[in-house]
Parts: sequence; structure tokens; C-alpha cells
Amino acid sequence: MNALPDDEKFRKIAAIRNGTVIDHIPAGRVLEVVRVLKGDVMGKSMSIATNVDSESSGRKDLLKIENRELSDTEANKIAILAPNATVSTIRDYKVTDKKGVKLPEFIVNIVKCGNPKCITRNEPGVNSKFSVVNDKVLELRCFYCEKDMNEAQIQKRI
Amino acid sequence: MGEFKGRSIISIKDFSREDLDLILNRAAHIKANPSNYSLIMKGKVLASLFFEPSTRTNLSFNSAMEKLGGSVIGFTGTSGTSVKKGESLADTVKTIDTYCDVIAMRHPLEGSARHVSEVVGVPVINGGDGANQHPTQTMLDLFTMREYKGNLNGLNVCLAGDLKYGRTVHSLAAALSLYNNTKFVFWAPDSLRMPSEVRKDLDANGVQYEEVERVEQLPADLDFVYATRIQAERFPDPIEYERAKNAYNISKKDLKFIKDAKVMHPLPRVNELSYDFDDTPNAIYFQQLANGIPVRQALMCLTTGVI
Repeated sequence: MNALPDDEKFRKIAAIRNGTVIDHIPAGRVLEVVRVLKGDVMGKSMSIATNVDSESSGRKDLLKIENRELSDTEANKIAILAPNATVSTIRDYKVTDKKGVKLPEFIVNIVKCGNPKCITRNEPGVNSKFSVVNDKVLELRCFYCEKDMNEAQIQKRI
Repeated sequence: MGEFKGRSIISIKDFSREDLDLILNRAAHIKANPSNYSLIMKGKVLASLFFEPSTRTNLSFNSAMEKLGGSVIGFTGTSGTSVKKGESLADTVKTIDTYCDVIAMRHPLEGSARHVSEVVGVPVINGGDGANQHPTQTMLDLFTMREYKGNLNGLNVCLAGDLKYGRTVHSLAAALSLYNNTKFVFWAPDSLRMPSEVRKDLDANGVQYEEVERVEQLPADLDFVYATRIQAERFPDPIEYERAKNAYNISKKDLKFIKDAKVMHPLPRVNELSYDFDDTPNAIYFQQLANGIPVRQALMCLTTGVI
């Protein structure tokens, strides 16, 4: 039986031939990332690692999506969940593009509004929607009730 | 037929200074020439959908439409409507959308008017969504201030009472910030101070404001004191309301502090504005409410595209 090469012995998920790798997702958040991207990656084969070692942040999550390259718009949807994520495009096992993520103009159906009287918390079919008030010190404003949330409030409501 | 056709009136923050000036100018023309507009909305229907109580706003919209030659359908309160059967807001308004040319609505949930404007085809005019916005009140407030002062630049305005939950003062602060050199005084008990969202926007626009808790602390050069009711229905905690409800009052004896400032109030009042103040030359709140008619007429004409 042939032994695995040394680097494969330590790799938690196999390399993908073509697709997208999202790295540096905060530990414990990868399933939320999958939920947010669900519509964009429906039917694609995905591999998930959670709570793996990270040199920069101690622990991280990782997501590999086979045979699907994410556009900037699609990738930026996860910025509120994983602000330091890197999104790499893989072609024939090689990284052909690698970029960070940026908060989009509107954040839809990811963060729940903190206002109990907001229409998004009381009526069916009204998805939450926020604009970014301040991206340096993260603050979001609800598109509907116009109430603001600071970073601590946002993280509790993802 | 300008850029207002089909546009909904949801939040004062959606409007530029030029937009507001256009609306106020049209309202002034309607007020000065009512007979020119008495048939302009003939054949048009206003759906007046008031999911919570209202006297002034509801009747003001209805009267405004009738005086333009249009008709009104709708309701006040939800008894007898499908809402009582559990129908969603979207389904209720999508039905009514087919019956009318413009909707005026008031609803207790914040963001409701914005949501409705996304699901119907006719323009929606927000008559108040919870503690969030009441843009037509702000527009008639601006109209009134402009009538008395000639223009809206350089005003010194005191906003008083329930600054925490009061949508009228939030909207008015946002609107007056669009004009030059506005200065504010916020007169409120500590528990009802102006919320951070409003302050942040004022700070971002470089608008000056100071805060006071007693009438004796009012500066001498105010143009307007805008008084508001401390609103029981907006307090999430009834104990907090009980503590705050008698926090301030304006009566004739306060004229020595109010001086020449005109006193406005969106009404209804409870005990924050004494009846003995009504016959002072400073009291302009009844003229203020009357201005609701030409302002709402202007909005309905502009959004339906008849002018």
C-alpha cells in the first residue's frame, strides 16, 4: 500500500481541483456561511472544517466548494460573518485568485434586527435588511425601522 | 409632472433639501389658491389605512383628498378587517392596492410603511409607523416654521418633551439639519433624552445642540419651542412612563423664559401644554395643524403625478 505524502497526512480536507476555498472563517461560523451562500452554491459538493488550528487566530473554520467560483458580490455576502476571510479561486489545483471580503451595501437576511417592534420581526416574509453606517467600527442601520446596532449587538443577533 | 410621480413618502431621511422646498412651495401655492385644485383629483381614490388610532392625521388626509375632488376609502382600527382574521399586512395592502391610486397609512410596527411600499404599486404616504417616522407631520411643521420666519435657515429650535420615543422630533431634527446654521436645544428629562441615532446624524452634519432639563435654562433667542407629549403608548415599561409622565409643562407663567419663541405641538396634548397658553401670541399649534391640509394635498398631487 502506498503511504500518503507527508503534506496529505496533515491536511484535514483534500485539495479541490476546481472551485473556491474560503479560509479564515471565525471558528464555529462555517455553517452560517454555508447558510448564507446556500442559494449560490446549491447542489455543489462542499467540504467543511471547523475549529482547526490557525497560526493567525488560534482557531478557524474552512470551507471548500467544488466546481463553483464565487463572484465578488457573492463572496461579500459573508463579510459580516467572516470579516477577515480570504476567498481563493482554484483552477486545476492552483490558486488563480485570492481576495478578502468587503461589506456589501446591504446585508440581507443574516442579522436579526434588535428592535422588537420592527416589521421584520413581526410579519411573515419580511427579511431583515441593513445598511452599513460605519464599517470601521461596525454599525448597521435597519433599512425598515432605522434603528442602529453596534458590533456587540450585531454579533448577538447573527 | 416631476420626479415625485410614483414616489412613496416613507421617511424624512429620503428627502433632500431641494425635495422639501419643492413640496413646501407646492403646498404654499395650494394654500393660497385652493380653488385651482378643487377638482384636480377627480376620479382618484385615496385608501386611508389607519391600523391604530388617529384623529388629526386620518381626518386631515381624508379632508385633503375630498377638497381636491377625490374620494376616500379605508379604515381606522383593525376591527372588521381581515387583519383580525390573521391576514398578513402584505396580503391586506395588496388587495387594497387594486382599489386605489394612493395609500396613506399608520401602523404600530416600525418599518411597516417601507415594507408596504415594496409590495404595492401605488405610492404610499407614511402617516406614522410606530415610534419611527411621521414625515408628513415634519413637512407641515417645516411649512409652518417657514410661514412665520420666511425661510428655514438659521433657526434656533427647542425640541421638548419625549425626545426618546417621539418620532416627530426625530424627523424634525433630521429635516432641519438640511438647512443652514440650525441650532437645537433639547429640553427633556434625563430618561427621555434624544437617542444616539439622532445625535450621531447631527454630529455627522456638524449641527450644534445643547441639552437642558428645566424651562429656566432655555436660551433667550429661540425661534420655536416644539413641545411633545410624553407618550404612554410608546413606553415599553409602564413604570418608566409613570416616572416621566409629568416631567415638564408649559404654561403662561413660562412666557418669561420662552420670550418671543413660537410654541408648536403636534397634538394631541395631555398635561404638558396648559390651556392657559392657547390665547398667547406665542401659541401657533392650531395654525400648525391646519397646515396639514395643503401639505398633504401637495404630497398626494405630486406622488400621483396629477401635478
